[in-house]
Amino acid sequence: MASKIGSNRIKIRAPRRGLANENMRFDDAWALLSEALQQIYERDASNLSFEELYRTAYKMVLKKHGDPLYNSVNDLVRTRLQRVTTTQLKPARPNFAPTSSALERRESGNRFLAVVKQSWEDHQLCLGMITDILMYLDRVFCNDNKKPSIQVTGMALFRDNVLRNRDYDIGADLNRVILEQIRMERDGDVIDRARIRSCVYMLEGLYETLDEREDQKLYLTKFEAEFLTASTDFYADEARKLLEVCDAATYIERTNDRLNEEWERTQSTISTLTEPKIRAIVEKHLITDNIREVMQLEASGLNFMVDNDRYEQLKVLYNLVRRVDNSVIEIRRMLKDRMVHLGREINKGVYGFRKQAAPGGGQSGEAEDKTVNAETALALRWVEDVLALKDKIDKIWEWSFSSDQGIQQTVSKSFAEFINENKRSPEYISLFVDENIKKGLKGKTEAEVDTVLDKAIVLFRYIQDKDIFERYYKKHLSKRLILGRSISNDVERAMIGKFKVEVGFSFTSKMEGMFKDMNVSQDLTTEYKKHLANLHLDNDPTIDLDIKVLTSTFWPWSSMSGETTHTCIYPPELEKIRSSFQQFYLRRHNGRQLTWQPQMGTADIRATFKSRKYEINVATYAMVILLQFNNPAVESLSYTDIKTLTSIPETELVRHLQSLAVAPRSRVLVKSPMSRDVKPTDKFSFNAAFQSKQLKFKIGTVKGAGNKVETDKERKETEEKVDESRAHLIEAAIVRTMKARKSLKHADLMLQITEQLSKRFMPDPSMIKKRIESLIEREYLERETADPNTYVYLA
Amino acid sequence: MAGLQTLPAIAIHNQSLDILMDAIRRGDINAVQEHLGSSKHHLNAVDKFDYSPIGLASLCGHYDILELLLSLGARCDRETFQGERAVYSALNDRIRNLLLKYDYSVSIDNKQPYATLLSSLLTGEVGCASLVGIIRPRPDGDTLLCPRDERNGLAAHAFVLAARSSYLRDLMETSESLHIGRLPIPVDAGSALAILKCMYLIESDDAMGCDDAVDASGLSVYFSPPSPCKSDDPGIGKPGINKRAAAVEAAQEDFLRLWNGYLSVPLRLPRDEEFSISKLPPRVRFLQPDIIFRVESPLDDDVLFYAAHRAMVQSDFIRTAIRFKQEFQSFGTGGCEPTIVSIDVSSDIMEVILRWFYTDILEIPSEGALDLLQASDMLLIERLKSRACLLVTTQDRDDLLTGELGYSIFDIARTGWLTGMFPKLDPFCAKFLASRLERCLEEGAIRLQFEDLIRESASRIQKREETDTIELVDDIRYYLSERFRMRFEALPTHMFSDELQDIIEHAPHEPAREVLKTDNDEYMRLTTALDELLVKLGFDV
Repeated sequence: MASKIGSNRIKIRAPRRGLANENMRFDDAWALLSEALQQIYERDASNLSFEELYRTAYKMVLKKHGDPLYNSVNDLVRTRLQRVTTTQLKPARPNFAPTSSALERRESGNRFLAVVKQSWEDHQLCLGMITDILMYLDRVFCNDNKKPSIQVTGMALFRDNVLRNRDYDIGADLNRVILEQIRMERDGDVIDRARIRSCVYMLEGLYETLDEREDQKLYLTKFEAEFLTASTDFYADEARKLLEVCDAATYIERTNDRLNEEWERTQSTISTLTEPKIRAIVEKHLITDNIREVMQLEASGLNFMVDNDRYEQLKVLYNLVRRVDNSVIEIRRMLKDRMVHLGREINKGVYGFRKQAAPGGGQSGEAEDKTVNAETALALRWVEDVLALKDKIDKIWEWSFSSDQGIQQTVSKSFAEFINENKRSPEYISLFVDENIKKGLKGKTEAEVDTVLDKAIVLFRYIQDKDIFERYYKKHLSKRLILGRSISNDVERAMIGKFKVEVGFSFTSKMEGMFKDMNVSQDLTTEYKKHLANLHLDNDPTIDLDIKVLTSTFWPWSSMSGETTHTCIYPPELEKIRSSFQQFYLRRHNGRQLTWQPQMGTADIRATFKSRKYEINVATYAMVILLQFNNPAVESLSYTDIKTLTSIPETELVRHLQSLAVAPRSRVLVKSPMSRDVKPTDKFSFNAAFQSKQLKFKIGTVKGAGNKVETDKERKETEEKVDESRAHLIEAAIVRTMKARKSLKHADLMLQITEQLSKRFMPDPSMIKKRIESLIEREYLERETADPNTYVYLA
Repeated sequence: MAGLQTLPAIAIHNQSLDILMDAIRRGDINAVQEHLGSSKHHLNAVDKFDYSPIGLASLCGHYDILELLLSLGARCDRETFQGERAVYSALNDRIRNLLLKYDYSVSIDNKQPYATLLSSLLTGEVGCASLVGIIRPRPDGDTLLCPRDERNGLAAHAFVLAARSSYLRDLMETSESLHIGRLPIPVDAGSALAILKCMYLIESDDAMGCDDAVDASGLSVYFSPPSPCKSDDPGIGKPGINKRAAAVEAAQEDFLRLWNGYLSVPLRLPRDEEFSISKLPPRVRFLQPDIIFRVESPLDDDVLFYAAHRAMVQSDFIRTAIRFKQEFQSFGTGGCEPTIVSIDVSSDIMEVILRWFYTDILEIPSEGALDLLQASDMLLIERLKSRACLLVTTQDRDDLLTGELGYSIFDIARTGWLTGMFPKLDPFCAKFLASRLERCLEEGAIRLQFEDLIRESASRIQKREETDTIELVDDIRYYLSERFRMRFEALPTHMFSDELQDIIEHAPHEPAREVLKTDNDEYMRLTTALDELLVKLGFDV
């Protein structure tokens, strides 16, 4: 490469050996430099020759005058700064006299800040120029001799001769003025933030020591501590005052404002370094120390906000509490109390009613019916009220509490608490579903249906005794199915699907079986009809059989049929069909047993009265009774006659006769004497004069068509049944567990059982103990001889 | 300064790269060749595991594939993560050595600071080689290169354009539009950018360099890239390295031409005449100099003014001077008057320094070496200081003892202490003095200077303790022993006189024994004389 450069035209003359040998007196050189530095301080630098000054300093360093130069420069800067302090800062010192007015104090403070700012900026500017000129000194002399640079010492000199001047404590004045101004701003005055900011920058640029460690900034060591103390005092006081005069809404609003204000202050007035510290102070005094008291304020606290749906306030409150406690325990505790309280209010409506109803004790059937109807309505209202409460709190949860997980748990817990306090809640909720599936859903879109059912599921989730719910639900469901009351099979199935998701397959298997039965029966009916058509039997075409074959294990038998067995003597034309179907069915399914349940069926009959023909829908029993009058020879039958002819169970007979002969709109029979009650001596005859506005109508039984709440008697039965089935479940669980573990301590076994069953219900410990005893008696288990507290499984 | 340059790691997540990487993993050289034959884009890419092709080849131990990749221009640069990883994870030494042979940073290192400086003029960033999107104009860009489809133009420097493109230089020298700082160029923005990247030595992101791009798009009218095949042995090419080196070399040549043809002749004015830009000849003015160096003429009372460009100035002193004048004295901010900075060096040294600024080429006769060292110390140019030191220490001539060259060995030692370069200069001086110790001790004038130097060296330790030694003397003793030990390579490092005696007596041949004996005597004599000198100067031995 070198060859390409071209001719070597450089001729170096006799080198300027001057540098090393030339003599130089320090005083002369320093005179030149100090003159220039003075000019810099006088703002008269425009005619200085940078090169000459640099070169002078350069030579001084080469000539080993670095040390005196370094010291002289620092002396000069020191003198200069001292003069600035006496001539400029001292006269501007603020007036802290207690007699002075706020306005005066602010004005004098402002003037002082302006002077501090000005002298700092002057110092920086001049120091910058000096540093440039003495660059060689910095780079070579300071570096070689491990001395702090001119810049660093210059800063330290400002610190010591201005802020910590021996005669005038400018630094303390500065702190005090800034704090006073901030105090004024906190009290609502307007201050010159930028001016304070530049003084804060100054404190941030100065350090305690020459090595300029970040944590040794004057801002941190001198100013910040004072600022924080003042702020602590201010906010302790502020909290007290606010509590005295404000309601909760104002309190949290002010707190929020204060937090924003302090944050803004760290951005615009003081250093951002202070942000976390001042935030902690405000949070401690305005939130941690007092928020509980604020929330408990009677007329405006948390309860008030929840009751009156103050979403915004709750949101602010939540965000405030979250600052100091991420899990917002305080809010959750109060919220839970409130929810349980509101829930108990709803429960009270139910208790109150039942207390009213209870004294009647053995009331007449009619009165009982009334009570039942009223309680059913009450049950539905109870569910609706609970749901309304849930909606309300959900809205708050979503809007104000940012869908906080912890709060959701709290809400769930409180709902579970009061819902389970009402022992009838499983029944009520099932009734609610029943009601909605039966009629409530008409005219609603699928999505709306889904919402209602989802709500029901939410409540279902809170129920502890899921087995009781299952029992009621099955009962209600079976009635809906058999009586064809549910408006949509899809909805029913969707509902069961939801249960399945919640508690699993075992919970819904029987319900699904019920659906299957319904489908199979439909097919069966069709096939039977085909079968008849094929046989061309001379059947009475006027009788159209629609059969439902139900698997007895799936269906809640006892609750449907009551304790009495149901039989009756069918009129011959019916009996013929009945036996024909029975033959048909048993031929197809050998070995099965069919039990006829006439009490659950209905019949459409066509009846001719004097005026016209009517189509009437009646219960099967009612049809059997009416057919007794189909013989023109029969004019009237006594109660006893009918009973003998039909052998319908007495209670049913009475009920149906009431429907046919007493109920005013459907009086197709005439009873004599005319009275409400049916007595064995009463006589009945066909009411040929019967008239109705509708051609088609339905004669309901007096009781039992719709799903209603249970009477006390029924409930007692239900409870017994529940206990019975629970006993089975517990025993099964014990055996399952012991079979696996072979031997287990009592406490462990209790724990296991409770855990296994808690998904369905909360087993009662005494009940478990009883079952264990029973199993020991039946020699499934035995107590270990050495330790009677341990059970052993016997294979 | 060195090693800041980073290799752009372009993560390419595509199937095509995966195919290549798989082929490398398998060791399927045909597949690799086929893949790279169609496109070289993946040569320096990285996959989702941050592996580069050479990294993987190195790890898997496929020597042939690695060789192929390197010869195609894959870059192995130990200053980058990819390169270091490839070297570190090499399966065996053979592969490792192959990689080291191609190590990029080593080959390019000494040119890198210059190239980086030039690149940073365009990118505004030091050490960043990759350019994404539109280049942000630097404040000191003085000329807008205006492609035909871009309204704003690309900021560039007139002197760089003039240096690197004769087309643009001619255009500028004659152009009327230049006074508003716009230079129309009849290409599109993409091409203009490619040309600029080449001119400013900005490394391209892929193996297909921007040189190639300029070549391929027929833009060589505006900028002629160096021909890539200038390597000494074109047989086994190291394309990445050679191309880069050639590009830097071409830039150096271009700037040298600019320097010699335009800038090296100063404007000469009588001392009392004031400088004005209008007094510069037009052929310098169109280069838009923004700084003028004022140097006293050596021969008469005139003053010399060198026009130059701040962009190339690498002196902290000059930069500070410019800032000082601009910030505090508001000079040079008004219009196009450049800042004038007086430099207190001879015009010869000024020219050497300026030429070095522009070209990174340092050429100076030995007589000027020490002056250059002092000047670069005063002007705070660290890199030039090292270069000057190197110049000083690579000479071995007797006249340094007498100072006939203009400076003596004693001046060198002192300059080392003054400029902080003594770690490099002290050993040189000690070795030099040790090799000529006889004359130092015996010739009166020299001996006086020698004694002064020893005193000065002693005084460099401020508080002398009993046990302290004199650094210079220690060094001389060391090199003295080296000097005599050189004769027998087999001798142990620590040589004591009795051991030496022993060896001499057992030397196999008579003549050799004789030589050894003389040497030993000589060595003993010199050390004793040195000791005596020290005693006389008042130091403990």
